[in-house]
Amino acid sequence: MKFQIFMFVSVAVLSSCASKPAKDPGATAAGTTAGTATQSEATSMESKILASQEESNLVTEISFSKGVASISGAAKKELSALFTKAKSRGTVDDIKVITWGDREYPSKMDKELSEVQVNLVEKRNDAIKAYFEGIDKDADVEVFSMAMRPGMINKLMSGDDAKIKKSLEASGIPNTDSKGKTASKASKSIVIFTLEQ
Amino acid sequence: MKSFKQGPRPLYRKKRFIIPVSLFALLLVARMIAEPIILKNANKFLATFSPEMSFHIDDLDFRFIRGAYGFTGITGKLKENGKEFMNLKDLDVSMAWREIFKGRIVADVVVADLDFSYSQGLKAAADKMTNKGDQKQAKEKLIPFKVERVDIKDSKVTLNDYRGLKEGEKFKITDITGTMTNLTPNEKFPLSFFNVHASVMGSSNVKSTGNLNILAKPPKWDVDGELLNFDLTSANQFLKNKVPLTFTKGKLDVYAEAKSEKGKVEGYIKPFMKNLDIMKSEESFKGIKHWGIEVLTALGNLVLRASDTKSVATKIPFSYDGELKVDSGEALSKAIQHGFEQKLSPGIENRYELE
Repeated sequence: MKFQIFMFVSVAVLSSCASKPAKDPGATAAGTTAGTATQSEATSMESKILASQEESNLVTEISFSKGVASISGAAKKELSALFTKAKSRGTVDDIKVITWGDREYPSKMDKELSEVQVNLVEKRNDAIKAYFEGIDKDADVEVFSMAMRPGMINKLMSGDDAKIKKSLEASGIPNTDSKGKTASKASKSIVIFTLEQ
Repeated sequence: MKSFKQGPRPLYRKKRFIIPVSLFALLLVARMIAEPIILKNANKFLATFSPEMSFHIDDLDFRFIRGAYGFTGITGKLKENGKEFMNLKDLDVSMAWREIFKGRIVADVVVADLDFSYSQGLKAAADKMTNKGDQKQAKEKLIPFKVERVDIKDSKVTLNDYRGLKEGEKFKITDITGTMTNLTPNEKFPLSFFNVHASVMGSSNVKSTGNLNILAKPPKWDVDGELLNFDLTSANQFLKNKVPLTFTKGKLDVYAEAKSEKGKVEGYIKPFMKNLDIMKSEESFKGIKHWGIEVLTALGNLVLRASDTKSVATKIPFSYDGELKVDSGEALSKAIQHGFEQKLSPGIENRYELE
């Protein structure tokens, strides 16, 4: 333990000898590290925790451009790769798609985002659903909108919509009233594959 | 001759009334009789099953409608000094109905409001408990079913390692919420899943998730972890007991990933420290490493004061195959890279995952 702390302090001190201005903080170290990523590097811990609660580790996150509902080429590649991986592991039971508008999840006060945002999420979900159905017409795709909070009945019945949104909130996603403790989820979709047991 | 015309039977003599009422009465009586007997037996066993520690359950409650039962007020004490190390408000064991349709009788367990206190005394007592059969028997006594899923809610762990620390200074992990699922895996669906999130020292959040294949020999697992916004000054009391340095300010983010296959472990830790200011403490030094820390701390502060961002980061790859190997060369290179060439990217890199 002491040795590890010693090592870290040594490294910390040496590394802090920086005099050059920092480059883009978003730049990734992936290019300089051996090995290849097994999942999208953009897949956050919140997405992984949600997938784990759905008994899956087949999860990814894709991003949309602002105001746009169509899936980018890179995102299609990502989704297709995950679909192939899921099929190689077993029979796909369902695909859960959780999509945000260009704003964060509405707070308890807001309840629902503007009609424009609600429609945008719907279109994004439709695009992802159509994409999967294009690959496999039997794909069972369940979509969830993060432009609105779950309805009272869904909450009372502990429906999937309420369960998923509660889980994401508990893991600290930001909402329209608070910054939250994690990175923004605006303009993103989480896609989770569950396998038949 | 008088004829007696038989009228409709009253409701209380009808089968549709008698059967459910009798069943209800039977359950009520069974509950009244069984609960205290089972509780008494369980407490007798838990008080004597180990020479090191004992447990006590305040109450047992059958929750018939859900096909469940619950223990409330479970406390655990060390026999040596009578110190309480565990207080569990509610342990709910219920039938996993979703599994019945698959022909399996397994249970879901919910652990709610657990307050667990870790100390060297507890570790020593646990180490002495060599008879694993007793521990298994204790589990069987409380949960005589195979467990399919465990949920942990609103729980906390306190590190009670050092005497003299005030309540607010102890290392605490609170608001622990987690899930473990598919704990009775099969060949077709071999992975078990676990995830947890919690608050550390009230100031930061820790999240972890992973997969486990217990059917593999040896078992395989992978884990991802993330600690965000940890206030380094809150660890000063803890650090003072380990090394002669404290932080006057600074925040720490840590990202880590690891995987174990064929008994070998590999992974990395990526610490990011921001707005850092290190100060040596006036504790006595214990050897060359402490002296080294003293020198490096002074040097570090000098450099950090000159740095604009006061941020340091690195990536420390490690592996374990009988012995722990830390790639200090890469750690150093990444740290320098972060300082001079290209900032390390915060976050999990998703490099280690079970197939």
